[in-house]
Amino acid sequence: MRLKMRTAAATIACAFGGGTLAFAATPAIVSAIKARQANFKEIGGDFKAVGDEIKSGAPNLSAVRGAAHDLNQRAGGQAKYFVRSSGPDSGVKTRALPAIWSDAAGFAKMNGDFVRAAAGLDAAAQKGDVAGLVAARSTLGMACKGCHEKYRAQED
Amino acid sequence: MLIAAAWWTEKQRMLEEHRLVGYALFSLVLFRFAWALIGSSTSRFSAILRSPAVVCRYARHEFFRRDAARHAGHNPVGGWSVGAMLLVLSAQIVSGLVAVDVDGLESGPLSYLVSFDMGRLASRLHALTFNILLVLIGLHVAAVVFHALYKRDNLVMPMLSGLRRWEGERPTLQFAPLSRALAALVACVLIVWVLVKVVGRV
Repeated sequence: MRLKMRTAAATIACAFGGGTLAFAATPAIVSAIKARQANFKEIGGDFKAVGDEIKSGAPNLSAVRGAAHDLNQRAGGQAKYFVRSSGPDSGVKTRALPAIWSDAAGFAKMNGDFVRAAAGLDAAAQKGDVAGLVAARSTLGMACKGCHEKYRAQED
Repeated sequence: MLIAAAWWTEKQRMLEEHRLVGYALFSLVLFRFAWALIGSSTSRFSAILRSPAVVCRYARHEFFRRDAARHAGHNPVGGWSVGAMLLVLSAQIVSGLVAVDVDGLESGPLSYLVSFDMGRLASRLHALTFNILLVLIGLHVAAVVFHALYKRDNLVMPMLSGLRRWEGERPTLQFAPLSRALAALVACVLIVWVLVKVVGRV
């Protein structure tokens, strides 16, 4: 009886231990998630900086250029942080939805739109074309929103 | 009603409308502060924010007594409830003015004055103070219901009409003229309009 209990306990421990191991994100996954969130945060900051200048009516183009260029660089490097298993089951707090991986083609397309829109913003900023900048900002905003609606969980 | 509209427009991600509701609330809260300085006697700070001794006395001896003396305006505890709601509403408005969403897409009209991190912090505060506000409103309404059912004292009609049944010596209340209220309201709306349209950037 005692042996049986012990076996049962060991089985349960194994099951739980195994389960934890299976779900625990590797350091590489954790760092990809952290890097992804940090990069998105910088992109948010850049987007705000560009928006603030545009809303002023007389944008300070050198500030816009810096932010738009940084945003463009970061946008191009964002996709690589969406490594496999870095979704909600990673155990790390993330709003990335499983659809990013289950619908990889759709996600790749939207990422492409985002990268192109960011390049468009950078190009308009470097040219100093304010009307183009306003349009590019709105295109980029739509790209952000579109992807977030499909592939990001609502804020809790 | 505006607070419900603010909640709804945010949930639906109708940020343009959410900002408009915020400006309306801002105007009303500003008006309430103005009214606490130049309004009718029961609306003034001196009448709603009573000393701790008065509040304690009320809470200890009168809170649950059905036959306790009535108060012409807010009772000492109710007055602080108003003060707390006004304070939290102010925090709600200030944080909303500078809040920025996680994407840097949507923001309050004065958010250009703060950094992205500050705007994000304001946004989190905006969510937190909203929950505190709901609790305070819930308490206030619960207290009004308590007065109506337990103390048989209808507080809603006096709020609307300025009239209530009174026993004993008639209190001396000074009602500020309606014209002053209208002028103050117009001034508050104007202040908010200038802050949003002239200083602010949307």
